[in-house]
Amino acid sequence: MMKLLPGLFSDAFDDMFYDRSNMKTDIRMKDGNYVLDMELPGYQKENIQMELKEGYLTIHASRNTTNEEKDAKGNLIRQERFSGSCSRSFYIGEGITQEDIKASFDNGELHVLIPKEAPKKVEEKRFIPID
Amino acid sequence: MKRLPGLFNDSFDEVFKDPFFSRNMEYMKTDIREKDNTYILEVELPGYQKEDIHMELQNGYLSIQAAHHQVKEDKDDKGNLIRQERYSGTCKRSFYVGDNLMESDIHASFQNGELTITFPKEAPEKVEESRFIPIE
Repeated sequence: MMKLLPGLFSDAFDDMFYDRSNMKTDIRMKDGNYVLDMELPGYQKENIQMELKEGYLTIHASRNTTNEEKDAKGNLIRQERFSGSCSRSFYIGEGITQEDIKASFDNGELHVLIPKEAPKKVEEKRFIPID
Repeated sequence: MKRLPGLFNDSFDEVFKDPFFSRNMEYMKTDIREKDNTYILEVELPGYQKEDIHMELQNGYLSIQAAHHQVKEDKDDKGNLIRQERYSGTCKRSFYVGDNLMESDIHASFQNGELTITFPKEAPEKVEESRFIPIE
């Protein structure tokens, strides 16, 4: 498995012995932002949570967890898709706060924008009036 | 993938031996369920648009094909690629549904990156007309 830029996006599942087939993510860099596109087909937006803690961005998602949901769908003949809860973490460092991160969910695709550096706070100019 | 009524003898091993899923090429994963005499197929197609997906019924095979319509400028516009895990390209998968189905029997909807296909388990039976023979 590919190692990303040193120190960034070290995936807990970056292990050649572990083949992860869900929550596949493409990572791009555009205009000073990291852009994550994660596959979450069939998930509802309400069942997806994102959390930023100690430099780790964690995405939790779940579908088909209750028996009612499963029974409502009918008798299972063949299952290839993942059902249940899953989560994935990305290390993005301590410099970013959760307000800096923007996310949207469309067509089964979670789209996350993470600035490479935290936006600089605008310094207030303090004028001193001269009497 | 062959699919005959009542013959879904799957063990877990079969999924891994299935030549459709070679290493790192898992796409169009499908769940098949049966409810109220209807087969329900749920195909994962995240990131595709409805216009990119085509379904065809031919010779008893239901085929689903999906392609990305990516214009070159669009691709550059997305930014520099750092890591790619997702498959981006054309993919196609077929299911044998038998000769008794017509296009009109099959219904499909696409939502949240999931294509849901339903079709009846058995073709509606033709009612046999009773023919009475009058006795004179």
